Amino acid sequence: MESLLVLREKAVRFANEYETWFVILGKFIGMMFVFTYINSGMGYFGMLNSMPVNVLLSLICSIIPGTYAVLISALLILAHLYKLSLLLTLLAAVVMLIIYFLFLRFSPGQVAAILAAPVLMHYHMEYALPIFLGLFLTPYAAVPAAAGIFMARFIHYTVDAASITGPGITTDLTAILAAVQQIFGNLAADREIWVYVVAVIVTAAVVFLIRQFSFDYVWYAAIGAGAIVEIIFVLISAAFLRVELSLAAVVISIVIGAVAAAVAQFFRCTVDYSRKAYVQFEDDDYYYYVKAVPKYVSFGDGREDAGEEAAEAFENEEEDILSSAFEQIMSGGDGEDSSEK
Amino acid sequence: MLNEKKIRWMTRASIYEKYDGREDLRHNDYFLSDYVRFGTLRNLVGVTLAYLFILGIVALYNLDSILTMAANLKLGLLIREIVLIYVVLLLIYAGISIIFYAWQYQSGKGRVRKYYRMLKLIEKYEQEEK
Repeated sequence: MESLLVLREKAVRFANEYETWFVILGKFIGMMFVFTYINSGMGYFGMLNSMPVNVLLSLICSIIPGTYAVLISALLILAHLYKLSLLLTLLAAVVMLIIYFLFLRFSPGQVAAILAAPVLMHYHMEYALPIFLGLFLTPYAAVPAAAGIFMARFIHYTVDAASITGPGITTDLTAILAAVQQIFGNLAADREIWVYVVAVIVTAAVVFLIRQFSFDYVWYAAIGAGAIVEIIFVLISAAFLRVELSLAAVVISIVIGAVAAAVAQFFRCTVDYSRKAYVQFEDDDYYYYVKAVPKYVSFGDGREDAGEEAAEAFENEEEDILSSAFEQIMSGGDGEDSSEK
Repeated sequence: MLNEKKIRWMTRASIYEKYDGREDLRHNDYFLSDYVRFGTLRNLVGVTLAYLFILGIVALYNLDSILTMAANLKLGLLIREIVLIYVVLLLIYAGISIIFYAWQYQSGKGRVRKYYRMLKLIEKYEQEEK
C-alpha cells in the first residue's frame, strides 16, 4: 500500500507541475476519439475525413472551451450529412437545436458527456459512463449523456434514410415523408435508448446522493452501489421494454467503469480514515462540528520510514490546518482546508 | 521573504478568477430578480423555438392524419391541444428556469463573497509586510 501511495504522490505532483499540458493533452486525445468516431461512421465529406484534419480540429478543440468543441463536432456531422442529403442535414440541424434548447441549457460545464457517451457506445462501453458522471459531476450530467446516445442513434437512422431523399433538396413530398417516417419510426422502435436513459439517470443520481454522505470510504461505497444499481436497473428496464442486451457486455462495461472510477478517485483524493478527527468549537452565532480527515502523504524518496515521517508531518500540519481553519471561521473566512470527507 | 500563506490565498483567488469567477462576477452585475427574469425569458424563447421545430417534425410524420382531420373540420381540436401542450411546457420550463437561475445566482454569490474575503486577507498580509 505504501509503495502505491508513493507512486500516487509522485504522479499527482508530476500532474500538478504540468497541469496545463495534461489538460490540453487529455482534451486532444478525447477529441481525436470523437472525430475518428464521427469520420469512421460517416466520412462522406472527403476533405474532412483525413488524419491531418482530425489532428488540426482536435488541437483547436483542446485549447477552446468544451462547449465550442461540441459545436465543432456538430458542424462536422452536418458537413458529412450535407454530402449525403441537404434535406436530412436540415433535419439533423433542427433536431440538434431542439436538444440544445430543451436539454443542454441547464448543463454548463457538463456538455462533454454528450460527446463521451456516443464514443463509448462505439466501443460497447457506454454503461461505464454513469458512475463517472455521478462521482465527478452532477446527476444532471446524465441528460447530456442520454442526449448523446439519442443523437448517435438519430444520425445512424438518418444516414440509413439518405437513399430515400437522394442528394440536394428534393421536392418529392412522398420521399420526404417516407424518410422522416423511417427515421422517427426507427427511433421510436429503438427501446435500447430508453434502457440507457433509465440506467444513466438512476446510476448518476445514486452515486451522487451516496457521495454526499460523510461515512468512511464513501466514494468507493458510492461506486460499488452505483455499479449494483446500474446492473439491476439495466436488467429490469431491458426485461420491461423487451430489449435483447448482451448481459455479459453490459456487466463488463459497468465493472470496467467502476474500476476506472475507483482508480481516478484514488488519484484525485486519498484520505487516511484511521487518523480522522472530530473537533467541536463555537463562536457567538454557531456551534461547529468539524470532521477532519488527513490526506495521505508520502515523501516518495525511498526512505524506509516515509510513513512515519509523513505521520509526524501530518500531526504538525493537522494542528496548523485546524487552527487556521478556526481562525478563518472565526473571522468569517471559509476554512475549507479543515474538512475533507 | 516569501509569505506562503499570502501566496496560497493569491493562488486560490486567481484559480477562482480563472474558472468559476469569470461567470460569477458577471452574474454579480445583476440583481437576483433581473438575472432570473432574463435567464428564464431566454429559456422560454428557446423552448418556443424547440416546440415549433417539434411541431414541424410531428406534422411531417403524421401528415396523413392531419390532412384527414382538416378534411373532417377537426383542426380546431388539434390546435387547442397544441396550445395546451405549449402552455404546460412553458410552465414547466419557467419553473425549472426560475429554480435553476436563482440557485446559480445564489451559489455564485456565496463564492463571490468568499473571493472578496480572500482579497481582504491578501490585502491584510500585504499591509503586514509593509
